[in-house]
Amino acid sequence: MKLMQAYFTGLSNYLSEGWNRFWFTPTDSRDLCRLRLPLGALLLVWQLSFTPDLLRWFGANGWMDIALFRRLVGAPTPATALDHLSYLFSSSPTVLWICHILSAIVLLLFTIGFKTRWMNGLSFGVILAYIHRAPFLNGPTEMLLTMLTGYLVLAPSGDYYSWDARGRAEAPTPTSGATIARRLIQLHVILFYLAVLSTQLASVTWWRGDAIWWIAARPDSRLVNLDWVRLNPNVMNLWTHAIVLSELLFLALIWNRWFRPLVVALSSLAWLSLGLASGNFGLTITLCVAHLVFLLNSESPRSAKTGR
Amino acid sequence: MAEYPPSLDAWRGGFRSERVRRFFGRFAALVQENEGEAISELFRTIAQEAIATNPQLTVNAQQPMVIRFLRLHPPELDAPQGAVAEPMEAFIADVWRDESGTMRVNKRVAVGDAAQVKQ
Repeated sequence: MKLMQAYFTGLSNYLSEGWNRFWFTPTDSRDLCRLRLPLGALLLVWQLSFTPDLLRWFGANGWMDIALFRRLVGAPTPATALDHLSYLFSSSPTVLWICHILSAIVLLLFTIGFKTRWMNGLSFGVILAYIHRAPFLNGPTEMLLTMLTGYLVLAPSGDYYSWDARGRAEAPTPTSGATIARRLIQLHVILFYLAVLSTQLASVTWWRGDAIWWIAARPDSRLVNLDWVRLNPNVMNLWTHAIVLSELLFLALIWNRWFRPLVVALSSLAWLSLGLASGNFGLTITLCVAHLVFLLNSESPRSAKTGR
Repeated sequence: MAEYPPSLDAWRGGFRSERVRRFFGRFAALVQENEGEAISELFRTIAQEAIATNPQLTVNAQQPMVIRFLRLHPPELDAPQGAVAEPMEAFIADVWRDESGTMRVNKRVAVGDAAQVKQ
């Protein structure tokens, strides 16, 4: 009996210490500060891509005007911005343009790290505003951008490589917030891979090895003509199965510090190839940016060697 | 389904073109799901004929719904020789059922564009 008690006590201590170590050990936020730079740039490009079509989408007679929004979402017109987490429910071109420009300024300030904590929170609000204004336009890219921006709020992502860090005399102290943000991003990326992989494995085309052809054959989105893939079944099968294999390897080996760079590189290549076939480089690049949270952290072999 | 604007070819791979493609796909799916084959056929007819001849169409009404969709000009069909087509040239047609269930079509020029609808 005492042995069992000792066992469960030891097990409880082991799990709780491991849990606390995983989530709450104070760590340096340098890797998250590095992540902020490409993420902010990506957010800026994403938001500015609305510019040529801003009134076409959201104007009084736009494609996603408020009347259509009400019809499609089945909701009344928002009385305040908080009703649908968006400040873009205006038909006035002047108001829309002012909101759009101010949003871009916020994202720029977040990227360069000016008042980073505030700008990070506001950037999260910016991306939510665009997403909730036009739910029909959203996809996995928007989900990843929201996730990265939202979790980064928890970390001091302006401690390094930022305007805020200029002239700072003392090195920033490690914080638990950095660890929590890092772990949340890592786990969310892994969940994303699980969702993608389970969807692929539920589809006969991925098992059969011709999924890449079905992706590449869509004429309205592909970047290059990949019709030759159809004439080379071996290439088609290899390409398809390599993508699935890279995702499996990512899930299996990502927590091993020595295999981590390798599986991140392989997965990034696989996603870039998918971007070439599908024409959806927005998702590909966003996911490659998300991969940085695994590569730049303090558990990488390089940092283990240097002791940080 | 309205055709994908060829004038957006230069933007393929980016957020902008992916957004348009996603909107078309989802909107058309929603139209088909809500109205079935009747409106899908109507959608195709209007997209092909440029709504000039018969704006009043009678379809079995199920429930009122405003359907808005786009027809995007292939610029090579409409633009004069050597003209540079504006990206996303389009007109918008509002299609809806009135109280009696009669399908109504209201055609108008797209906002911000000087698109000329081919008659």
